[in-house]
Amino acid sequence: MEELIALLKDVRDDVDFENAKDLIDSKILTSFDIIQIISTLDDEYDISIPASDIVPENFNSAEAIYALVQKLQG
Amino acid sequence: MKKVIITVLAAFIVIISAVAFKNVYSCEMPIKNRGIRDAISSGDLDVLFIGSSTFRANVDMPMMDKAYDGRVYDISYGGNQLVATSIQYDELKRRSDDRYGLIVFELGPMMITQKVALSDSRVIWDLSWEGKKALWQSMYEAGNTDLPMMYEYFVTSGMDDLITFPVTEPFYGTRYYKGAKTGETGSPGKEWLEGEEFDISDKELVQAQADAVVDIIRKCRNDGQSFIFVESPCYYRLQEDPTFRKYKEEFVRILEENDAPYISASDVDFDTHNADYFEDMNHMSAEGRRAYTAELIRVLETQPEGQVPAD
Amino acid sequence: MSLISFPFFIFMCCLLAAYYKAGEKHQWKILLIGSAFFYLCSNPLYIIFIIISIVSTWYLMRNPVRKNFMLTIAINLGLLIIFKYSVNLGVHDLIAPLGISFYTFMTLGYAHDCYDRKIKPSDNLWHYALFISYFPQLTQGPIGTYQDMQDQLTAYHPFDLQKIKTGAYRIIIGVFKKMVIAGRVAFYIDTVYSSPKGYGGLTLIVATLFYLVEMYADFSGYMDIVCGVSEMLGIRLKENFRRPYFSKSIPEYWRRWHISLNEWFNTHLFMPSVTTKWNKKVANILSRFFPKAKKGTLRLIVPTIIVWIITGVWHGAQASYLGWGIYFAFIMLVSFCTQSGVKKFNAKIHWNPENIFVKIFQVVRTLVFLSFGEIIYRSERFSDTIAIFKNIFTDTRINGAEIAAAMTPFGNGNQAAASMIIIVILVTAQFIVELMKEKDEKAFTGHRYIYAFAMLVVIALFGVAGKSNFMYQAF
Repeated sequence: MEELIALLKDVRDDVDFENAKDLIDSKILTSFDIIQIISTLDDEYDISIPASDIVPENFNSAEAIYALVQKLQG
Repeated sequence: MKKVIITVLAAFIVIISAVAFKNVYSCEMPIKNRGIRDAISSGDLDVLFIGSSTFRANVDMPMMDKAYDGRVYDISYGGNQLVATSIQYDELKRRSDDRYGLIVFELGPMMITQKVALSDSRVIWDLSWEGKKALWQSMYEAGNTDLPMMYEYFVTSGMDDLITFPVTEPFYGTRYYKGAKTGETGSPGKEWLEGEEFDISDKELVQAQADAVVDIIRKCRNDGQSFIFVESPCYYRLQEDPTFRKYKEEFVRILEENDAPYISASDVDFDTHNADYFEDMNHMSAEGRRAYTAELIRVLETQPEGQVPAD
Repeated sequence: MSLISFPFFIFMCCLLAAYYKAGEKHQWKILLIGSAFFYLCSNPLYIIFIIISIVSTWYLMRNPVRKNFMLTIAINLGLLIIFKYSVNLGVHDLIAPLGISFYTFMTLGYAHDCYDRKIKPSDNLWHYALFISYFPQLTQGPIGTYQDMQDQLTAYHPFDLQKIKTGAYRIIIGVFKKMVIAGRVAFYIDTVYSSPKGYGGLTLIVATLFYLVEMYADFSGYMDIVCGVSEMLGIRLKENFRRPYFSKSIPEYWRRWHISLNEWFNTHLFMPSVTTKWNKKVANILSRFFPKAKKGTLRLIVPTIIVWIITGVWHGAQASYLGWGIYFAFIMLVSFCTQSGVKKFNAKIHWNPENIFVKIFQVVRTLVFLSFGEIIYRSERFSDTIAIFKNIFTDTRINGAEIAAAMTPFGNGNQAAASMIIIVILVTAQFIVELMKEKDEKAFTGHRYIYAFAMLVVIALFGVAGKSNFMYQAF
């Protein structure tokens, strides 16, 4: 989880990934950020995120992203 | 719900008041240096021009002033509408007893191809309520009118001018003198005039405008009013255009059929090939208008007084 | 039926009466009948095509397998392409069915979401038909999603006078923007852009800025009317605009302008493209040429180009639209690729994004880039585009003669100055309203009766009653 937050900070160092629960809903992350995040997750965890999983629920918080990664890692 | 009704009602009252005021009193607004009201306040005149922007640009008033001791005026925003010219004549007769030695109407060949329309809100603005109704009536009879146009005619036209009057009037007032432009307009140069594209080949005769010419002649005869039609020269390229020529012939045919006197552009010594004389195809530069006016005065003075009286 | 017309007013009165008289079970049916009637009034023969789309999509996507999804795309996209680009295919005078660009996108969005298992396929053909044909959003959007619309459309909406009043107020705002601001400024732009070579730089700049005003007033005004109408029926449509001209960057602008269209492209074209295998391959290839670039950035390149080209041609089959799409593709790419570099640079020069001058600079810069794009979009001929840019950069002078010349497109000298003053007052008033709302969404929500009064008077006395050109309707 800490590793994940470090990766996220690499994309946007001005965002409070530890606590924020509304990254998408409050438009904190832009679609540009999301793509960066997806690519990073793709490479780091060797997963492929299908378009159908790119929904607000999966990206609203660091926990949600972590859950998505775990799901895709099998 | 009550608030809604009050809001709508209040808006309605304000709108109706503004519209009524504009329609009845616009002709009384103190407009300087142009317009029917200013023309009337000039009293009896030796020469009165009634035409379109062509007359606005191509007549040099200071020179006319000198030739006729200041008893001249130029009503020049008919916007190419002969129908409007006819109504403006009525308006003058209705609103004053001033006498005009000679009224000069515009012989604009393309004017008889103009669809009857609102081309210049100043026309409406200048008219009294009776005049406004009369003009609408003639537009209506010519066909071509619809509800949006009627709305624009009676409600919105001239509202801009009304609201901005205190600011715009001082500015506009200085650009005219007795209805003609005073600006020292220059020529855009021979190259521009030669290169300017225009295509009038699809223009067709609009019967209402042709009828308006006959109307004007008839009204002047009935009132014993001396008149003459004058064709203001345009840049030779337009003058030599076949469509232009065709409608010039048609206009002249109407005039000759009704024994109306006229002065063609070619009857006046003026070089239509001289690019310095023109601002665009129809309108002259300051230099052009001065050259033309000098010659026009000469020709006008050689015209027989009055014209063929009604039988 | 134009939304600003007497027949439509009668239609709405009848519809509202029937709608609120209908019981819980039948209300949505009234809406469907009303929408069908609306369609028939506008485009009677072409109703067959929207019916084909509705029925085929509904049946096919009941079983959201790949084959059916592909077939749905083929049918809907096929019809859209045939109608929109018929001229390119050599067929002239083919009128497109009303709303085809918009309902096709709604249909494809629905199909895609079914295929991705984001939503369950509709189990009621008539409910689905209502979703696609719902008349307020049919002609120019917003492009609604099944998730947003479905429950609202089929739910029961008891009569609520407050909603009627709010809707009517919204409609007044829309009519004000369209008929007064957009309508007035349209003459000027049409005059200048029909033969731009003859105008000096100052006039061209004024015309272009007016075009920005016209586009916004016309389109967002229409959206206000549409949302107001829908509000009266108790159905909330998505906002399509969020004060776009206050954007501080072009990417931000595209999150504030025609929001529903850009979100559609984002969800259904952009994001899916980014995550595909081929895009990954392309990104890998590109990373050999640009080893320092972030992988994420490289993955954006091809999808951005594709999406922007398609966005461009979605507007129509003309070269100017394609050029516009390419222009923005380029700007978006530059924006993405330089983002981290710019951040570092800004840190070095102590760039303070909260500073008011910085914000103004960013807004102005965005408007400048936007204007260039809109020149490309609006020009009627390619030679005009070149001439406009040339005149603006080489022939802009600010002196009395140029200012006077800049007013002439308003008509002859008589009304020009007056019209210019009025339009400047109106645009300034609109600008102040929007600026206040940018700072606080709730601004101007009190005293609505006074604003309504003022707008009604201005609409009546200054509105352009002539032909109303709904800019996006032809799409």
